[in-house]
Amino acid sequence: MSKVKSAIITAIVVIAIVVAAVFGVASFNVSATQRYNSIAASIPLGSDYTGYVFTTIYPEGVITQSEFNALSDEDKASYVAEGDLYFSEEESGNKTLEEIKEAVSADAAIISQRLSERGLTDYYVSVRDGISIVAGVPSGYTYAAYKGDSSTDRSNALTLSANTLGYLLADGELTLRTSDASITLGDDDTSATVDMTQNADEYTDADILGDGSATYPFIGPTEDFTQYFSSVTSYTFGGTHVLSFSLTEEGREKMREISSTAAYSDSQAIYMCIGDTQVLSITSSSTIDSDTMQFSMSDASVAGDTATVLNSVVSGGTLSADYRSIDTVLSSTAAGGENAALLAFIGCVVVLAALCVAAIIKYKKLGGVLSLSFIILALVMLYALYILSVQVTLEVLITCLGVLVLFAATNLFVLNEVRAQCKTGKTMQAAIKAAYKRTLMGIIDIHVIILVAAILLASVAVGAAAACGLILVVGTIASYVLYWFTRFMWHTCSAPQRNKFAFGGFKREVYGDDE
Amino acid sequence: MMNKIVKLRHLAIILSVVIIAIGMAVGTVCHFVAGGFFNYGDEFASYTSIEVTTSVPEDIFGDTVREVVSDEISSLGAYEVSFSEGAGYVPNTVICKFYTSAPADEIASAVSSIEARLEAAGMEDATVGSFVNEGVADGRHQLMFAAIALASAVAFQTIYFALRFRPGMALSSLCNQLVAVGLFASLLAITRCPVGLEAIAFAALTVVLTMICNAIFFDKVKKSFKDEANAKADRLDLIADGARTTAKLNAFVFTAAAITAVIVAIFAIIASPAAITLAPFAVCLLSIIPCAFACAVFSPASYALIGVIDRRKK
Repeated sequence: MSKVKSAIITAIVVIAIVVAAVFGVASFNVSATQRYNSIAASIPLGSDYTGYVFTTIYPEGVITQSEFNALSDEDKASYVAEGDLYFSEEESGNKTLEEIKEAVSADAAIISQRLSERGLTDYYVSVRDGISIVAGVPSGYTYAAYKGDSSTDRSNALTLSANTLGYLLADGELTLRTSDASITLGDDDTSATVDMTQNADEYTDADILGDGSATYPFIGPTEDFTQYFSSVTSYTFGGTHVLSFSLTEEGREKMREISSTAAYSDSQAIYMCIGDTQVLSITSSSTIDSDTMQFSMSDASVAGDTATVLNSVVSGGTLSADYRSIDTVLSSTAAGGENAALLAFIGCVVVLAALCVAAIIKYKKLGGVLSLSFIILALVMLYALYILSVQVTLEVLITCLGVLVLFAATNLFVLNEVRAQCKTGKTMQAAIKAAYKRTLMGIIDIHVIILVAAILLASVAVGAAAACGLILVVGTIASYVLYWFTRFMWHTCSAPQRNKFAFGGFKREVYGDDE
Repeated sequence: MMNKIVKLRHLAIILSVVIIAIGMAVGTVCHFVAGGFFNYGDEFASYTSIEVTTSVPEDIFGDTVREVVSDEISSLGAYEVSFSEGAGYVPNTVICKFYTSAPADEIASAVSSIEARLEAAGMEDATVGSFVNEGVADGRHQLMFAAIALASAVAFQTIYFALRFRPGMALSSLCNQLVAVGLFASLLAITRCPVGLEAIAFAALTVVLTMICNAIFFDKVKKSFKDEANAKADRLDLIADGARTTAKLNAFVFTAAAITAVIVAIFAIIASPAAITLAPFAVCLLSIIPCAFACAVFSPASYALIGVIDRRKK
């Protein structure tokens, strides 16, 4: 390869890296009102780096200190202090304190299981003073949102997290409801009219639809609806987020009956609710008659929340106490400190720099080529985190750095072999060729095994382990591609060099005949 | 060194089993007397908290309340202090978490002092309370699915090694994985390091790291076996030689992984000097140690023992 070709290829690669790095890590103001937030600042972060969104739910009859202070002396008389909370047997529907404590403890376990099944990277649930439950989920802010540089991102993330809490903390039984007080089955005068008000229950006047209208269940409160569903799942395919119900034989029969009734109603709507929380609205213009029902959802988070809470309820995971509506959702600073994200990023840069410096010290100019590959790999993972919307937690960060170590190890594996080949008296080109040939199967073994493990983790595991698996898939493929790219760049950069051995800090064994 | 390990292979295996057995015993005892097989950390821990909630528009960023709380609790050893805000920055809440071992009377005294100072600062509507929070541990779902994924990955690795290398190597790599994961669980139980959900991801890291080193080691041993120059060499010598030549690379992988974790830990400590910040990094380092042991000691020892089932072409 000529010097000119070598210089052009090297320049193109370096320019591409610089451009990708600038857009990857530098945020700047484009104008007085517009700001460019870098790729790194637009990746959703876990609770370690941007904190939790959390709320406290109180059963009926339990109030906080400030609520207690606002009561009249007469009303205060019915309350007893429990830690820093207050409990009234009268307001709780004549349940004793011990009964409430027992119910809250059991409900906390159910909520914890729901959050666990939701596959969040992190969460916490604790029972406060025995009579209330605190639950937190990662806020999922990007760094820009966390620092207030992107109010839209912050608002969207907060809404999603608050929705997750709202759904997963929903209490009450599963019901299918309609807003029509009566439904006429048919279009002629002889058609029968069903009076839905006879099914009225405790949630009829709960303003489930948010417009002040009452709702009525399709079937009476004595019937257990959970027997009709065997499971509820969610998945995303081709950009469509789907909520999928598996119905039992009785469930199929019941849905046929309900959907044909709803099709005659004015609203043609079936509202699926848990207690007074509406989790799904189904438009039923015709009879639903299938073993499975699938509905398109607005986004993956809502689909996941809905599937998790419905699955919990149909599996008998209904909260036993009646809780007051969630009135305040708070977002906290990062668990790892307010600047944890920035410092973690700096830590990653230091690791990357350390690898580059070590490579240059050990392999001279070849170390520079290796450094280019390290930086490209780091950028690939940065962009992959952004494109795949992987929530970055400490585990994900360590996995990314682990991929860098894997890449360094594979190169060390082959370069050790190159060094050994050089000692046999071969030319540089011959040594490289022989070393790559000898180590090829080993390198393939490593990458194939890790790739399969990563795919299994990404597809089977949930939460942070799945996120690690996903980034490991990308990292392993990138590592293998860059392994060959490094050889190509080695060839390109060393082409103009006269002493090919000195380029990589190698020494050739000199035999007597050669001297 | 490697010759010694291969010669003392029975001892190396017994040592591994003993460490795992001690870990399991410690975990079992702790399950009955110390609240759990592992020491459940951050997300699952029980704690006492002081919470200060204000709704004062003049203090939307909570500077005053943060300053007051910081002054009053500085000597109490809160392991986490977070500032929370609601929609539109109101209300603001400062939450200070303490391990349950924090003295109750001192916490009560801090609550009174904070109340008095906030009232003096014109925040009469502020509510200050201390709460006992019982953590609810439930990582079963994550653990179950991660275990299924990792078990499948290990099964794939075993089959791959059986086809690509030798049956004995496949069996040995399977044993290595079991020992690595067993040691990881044992170390967590013995050290009582606070365990959160991150332990599941780091268990996956243990398996993946062990896979990498197994692949390198068995590739080397297989090549030695195939090399005609080694036709008359002793099988155990070739295994020791394979372990010796891959030791440098394995050492690099583990050292680099450990240094990486330490560098990130240092920056995490700068961000939050609380001891609890270190817990995930301790778990991370504890996940690297079993890999290093499994690959450097157990792998050659177990293959020296199991490898007799592999026939060599003479």
